[in-house]
Amino acid sequence: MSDFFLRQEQAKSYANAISDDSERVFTQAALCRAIGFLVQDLESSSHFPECPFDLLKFVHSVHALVKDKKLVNDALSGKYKNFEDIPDIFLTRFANEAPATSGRAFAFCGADSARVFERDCRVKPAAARR
Amino acid sequence: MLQEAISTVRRAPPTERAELMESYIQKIEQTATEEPWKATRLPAVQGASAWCGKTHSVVIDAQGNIFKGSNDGIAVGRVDGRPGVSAWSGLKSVP
Repeated sequence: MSDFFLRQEQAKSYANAISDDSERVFTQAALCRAIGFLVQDLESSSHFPECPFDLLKFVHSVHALVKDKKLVNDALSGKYKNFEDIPDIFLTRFANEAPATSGRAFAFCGADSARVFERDCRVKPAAARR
Repeated sequence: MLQEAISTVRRAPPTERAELMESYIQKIEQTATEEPWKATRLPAVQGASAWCGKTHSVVIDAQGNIFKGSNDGIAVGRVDGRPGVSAWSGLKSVP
């Protein structure tokens, strides 16, 4: 289907099937955010990148990361407002899977998605209690 | 604002929708105050036009049909040798 974002459909299916609500929403948001970031990269580059991005690998990594509740809570607190603020764990995790700059983009997806998670997930349980 | 733009665009004649959407998106980019907002324009197969934001995308096909949804609903591939949207089956049609 796509020759740039490898295994996108599988990535989407994987994210949709995550049973834990917070982990699923976080991972889905990260996937959407990653695609947005990567498309922006495409627009700014003058050539078609030679290295496609494996989105299935990406969602696997994001899912593993969001199981670390401390990391998620830190991200939810708004601690990572800039790429430079992102802890090494994100960067080293992705460093071997994509060029360094895209690794940062991926990492920021994770941090930013935490805020999406905060908006979409934390509010709902409170509303349900009313 | 994007939702308003889509509502307005869908009432326009089909042949004018892509151009109108582009003008609305430019306005949103210029006036977004809460945080910078940008949509990436991409060519799409079969004469369609696509705009991809941080989390959501909009596609208008050659017939003027409008599709929107989260970014995981589009597929990015080669369109005339350049990066572009090769499919958007995961987006929902705007009636």
